[in-house]
Amino acid sequence: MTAWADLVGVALLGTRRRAPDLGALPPAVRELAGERTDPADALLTAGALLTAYRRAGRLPENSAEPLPVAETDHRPYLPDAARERLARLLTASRPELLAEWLGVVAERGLRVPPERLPALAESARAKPALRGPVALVAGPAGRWLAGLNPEWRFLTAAAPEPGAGADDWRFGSPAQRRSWLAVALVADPDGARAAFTGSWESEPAEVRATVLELLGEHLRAEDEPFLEAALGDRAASVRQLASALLARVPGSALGRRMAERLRPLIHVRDDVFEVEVPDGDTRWLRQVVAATPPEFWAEFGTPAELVRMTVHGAPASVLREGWTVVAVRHRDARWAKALFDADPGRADAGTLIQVLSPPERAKVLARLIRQARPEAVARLVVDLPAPWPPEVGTVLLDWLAGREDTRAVAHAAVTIARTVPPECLGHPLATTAPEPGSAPWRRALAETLNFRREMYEELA
Amino acid sequence: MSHARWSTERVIGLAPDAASARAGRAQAAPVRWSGAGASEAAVWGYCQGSGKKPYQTCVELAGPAFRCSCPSRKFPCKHALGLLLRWAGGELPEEPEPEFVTAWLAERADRAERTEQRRESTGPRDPEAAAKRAERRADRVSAGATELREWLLDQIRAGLAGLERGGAEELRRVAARMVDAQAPGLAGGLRRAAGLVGRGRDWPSRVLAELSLLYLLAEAGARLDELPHALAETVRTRLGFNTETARVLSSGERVSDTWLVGGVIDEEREQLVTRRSWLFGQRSGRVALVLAFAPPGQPLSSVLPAGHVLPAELAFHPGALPLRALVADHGPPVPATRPDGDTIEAALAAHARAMAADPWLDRWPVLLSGLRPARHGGELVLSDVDGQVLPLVPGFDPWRLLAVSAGAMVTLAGEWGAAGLRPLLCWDGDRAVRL
Repeated sequence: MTAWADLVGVALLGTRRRAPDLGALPPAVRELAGERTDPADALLTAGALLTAYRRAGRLPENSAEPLPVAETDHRPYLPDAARERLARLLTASRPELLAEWLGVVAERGLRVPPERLPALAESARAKPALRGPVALVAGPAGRWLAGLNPEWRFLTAAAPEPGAGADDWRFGSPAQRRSWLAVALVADPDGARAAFTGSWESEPAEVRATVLELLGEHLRAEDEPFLEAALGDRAASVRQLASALLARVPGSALGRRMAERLRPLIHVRDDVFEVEVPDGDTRWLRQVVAATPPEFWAEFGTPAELVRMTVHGAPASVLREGWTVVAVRHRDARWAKALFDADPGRADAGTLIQVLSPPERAKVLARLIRQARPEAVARLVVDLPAPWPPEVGTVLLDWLAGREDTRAVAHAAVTIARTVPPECLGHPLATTAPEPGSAPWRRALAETLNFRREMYEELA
Repeated sequence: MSHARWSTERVIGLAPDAASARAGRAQAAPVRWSGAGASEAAVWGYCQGSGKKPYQTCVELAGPAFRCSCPSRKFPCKHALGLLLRWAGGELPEEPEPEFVTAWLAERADRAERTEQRRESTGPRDPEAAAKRAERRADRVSAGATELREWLLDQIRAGLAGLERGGAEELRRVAARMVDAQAPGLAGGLRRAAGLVGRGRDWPSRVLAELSLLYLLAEAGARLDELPHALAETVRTRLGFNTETARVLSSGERVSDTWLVGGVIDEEREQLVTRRSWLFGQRSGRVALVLAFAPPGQPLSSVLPAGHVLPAELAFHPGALPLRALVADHGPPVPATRPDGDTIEAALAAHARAMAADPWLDRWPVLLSGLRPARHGGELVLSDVDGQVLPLVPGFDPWRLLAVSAGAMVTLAGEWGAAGLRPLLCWDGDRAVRL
C-alpha cells in the first residue's frame, strides 16, 4: 500500500520538511485525519487509523506451495505411561537408558508421539550412538523431517532407499557416513559393500579402518578377496585390521597359509609340546598362532590337553596368548573353556568370557567373583561385553546384594545396573526400595533397575 | 470439591520453570518415596533426598498449596512435583491422611478462616480517601498523556530518521517518565517502540505504527470523560489502570460455558511472570483471556491447563471489547479432544471485528482447522486448502508443529497479531499437544 509507505517516508523526514499527502489515503481515514490542521497531528492520526485499518483488513496472501505429506505411519502409539517415560528420558541425560528404551520401542513396532521427534533428533545429533535407534523409531515422520532439516539427515538411515542413502556415504560427515554404513550393512549388505568398495581407493586411512571395523561385525565368506587386497594397504593400521578379519573368515587362505607355516615347526610327544621358533622371534610365533584357524590343532590334541602340556622352545605364555586370540576371533568355546580352566584369574577374562556359552559363562563368572577382589570384579564387569545372558546378570546382582559399601563395588554397580538384561529385572534389587539411609550407590542402583523394570513393563 | 486425578500435563504446568519440570520428573521414581498416598484433599509422601532424613512432602489439591521440608525456595519444589506426577500416573494408593497431613490441612483451614474474619472486621476501606487517590492518579495520567502527545508531535516534526542514533535510549527515557506519571500502558508502548528502532530494514514502518497508536491512546487518554463508557474503560485499561478484581467479580459480565483452554503462554519481564491463558467458549463462541502473575520461581495458577476443557463461569472486565476475564467458578478440567476450528477467513474476520472495538488490540486468539505447513517466498507458513497463507511469528520454533503435522492438515490454536501467528497448541488425532 503506497499511502502507508508515503506516510512512513514523511515521518522519517519530518513534517517540517515535507507535509503528508492525505489525498492518497482511503476516504474514511482521509476524512478523519483531514480535520487536523497541524501536519504532525494529521500524520500521527492518519498513521494510527491506517495501522488499525491495515491490521484489521489484512487479507491472507495466496499461492503457497504446500510441503509434501509424509507416508502414513501405521504403527500403534505408545501407551500413556511410556509417553511420560519418554518425557523423563529426554530430560534425564542418561543416553544409555534412552538407547535401550528406543530399542524396545522399535522392537515392539510402536510409534512415539510426534512432538517428541525434534528433541529425539537433537539428542541423536549430539550422540551418534543414538542415531540408528532414533531413525528406526522416528519412522516416516522422521524421514519427512530430515527432508526439511539437513542436520537430521541421519533419520533417513533406517530405510536406505536406492541412491538416496548412498548420498550420505558420498557427501556426509564422518559421523553420518559411519552411522549410514552401520545401518546399511544390516539393511542392505550388498548395497553397503558396493558403496565402500566404490570409493575405497580415494578414502583416507581412518575411513578405510572404520569400514573394516564395521565390516568385522558382519563378515561373510565372500569378503575374503576384498580383505586379501587390503593386506597390501598403504596404512599399517588397515593391514593389521584386514589380517585380523581374514583370520576370522571361515576357511580363509590366510589361515591356510599360517597353518602351513606352523605345521613343520611343531612336534607333540607324551604331553610335551615342542616348537621351533625361527630366529627366536616369539612375537612372530604369537602372530602366526593367532592367525591359524582352531581346526588346525585337532591333530595335536584337544584344547584342554594342549594348554596343559609342557612347552619347550618358547614360553608357554606366548602360545596361550595366541590361542586366546584364536578363541575370541573364532568364538571357540572349547578353547575358551580350556584357557579359563588353566588360569581362572586371567587379566583378559572379560574378553575371553564372552566366547563361552551363557550357562558356562555364568559358572566361570561365579567362580571368578567369589575369589577375586571387588576391584578386579569392577574391572571385569566393564570389560564384559553386552548383552549379558540372564545367568550372568543374576550372578552379578547376587554378588552386589551381598557387598559392603566400597568404591569399587559402587563403581561396578553403575555398569551392572544398566547392563543386566531385562530378564533379571525381577531380582529383589530391582523390586524393593533400599533401606532408608543406605549408601547413595545402592539408591542409584535400585533407581536404575526400577526405572528399567517399569520401562519394560509399560512396553510389554 | 472432589479432585479427579490430574493429567500429567496439568502437573507439569505447575512447574515454575523448565528446570523444575525436569527435576520434578526425576523425582517421580517410586524408589525415592515411602509412605506415599492420596486422599480426596491431599497427596503426601516421604522422599529420600541426598541427606539421611527423608523430606516430608504434601500437597493440598484445592489450592493447590505445597509443603515440603526440603530447603528449596522454588514453589512447588521438585519433590512436590514428583509426588504429583506419581499421583497423576495413578501410582499412589487411596489412604487415610497421616497425622502430619491432617495437622497441616487443619492449620491452613484455620488460617484461611482468620483471614476471612479479619477482612470482615476491617470492613470497607475509607471510600473518601480512595476516591481522592483515584482522582490524583487520573490527573497524573492525564498530564503524562498530554506530555507524551506533545513529545510525539515533536518527533514527527523533526523526523523519525533522527531516532536511529540514540533514539532507543530517548524512547526509554520517555517511557520512564510515563512510569512516573503512573501510565504503565504508555510506558510499555514506548519500550516496544524502543525495541524496534534500527532493527531490520522496515523499522521506520513498525515504529510509526507503534507510535501513532500510542498517540491515539494518549489523545484518547486526555479526553476520557468525552468517550462512550465502554470505550473509556478500554482506554483506561490500555493506559494501565487496573480494574479491581472485586469490581469485575461483582459487576462484570458473566458467561457460563464449557471452555477450551486453547493455549497457555508464560512471559517473563521485569521480575514478573505473566501467564496468558486463551479460552474458547464451546457453546457461546466467546473468547477470553485470563491473566495470572507471579514472581519467577513461584507457582502460577494451573486451574486452566492447556489442551483441556472445563466448565466455568467467567467474569469479563468492562470495555468496548470484553476479552480479559476472571474465572469466577470452575469445574474439573478434562483433556480436550480435537475441536472444529475456523477457516482463515472466519478467524481474520473475527479479528477485524475485535479491532474495530479496540484498535490497540495486539493479540487475538484463533482456533483454526485444515491448515498444513507450506512454503511462501522462502518462509515457512501455514496454508489452507486454497493456498491462502498465514505467516508465523518470527522466532517461532516450528519443529514440534511440523513433526505433528508431517505435512498433513492440523487443527491448532494460537495467538494472531501484527507479527503473525504464534501457534500454542495443536492436535495429533484427538490428543492436544502443547507447542
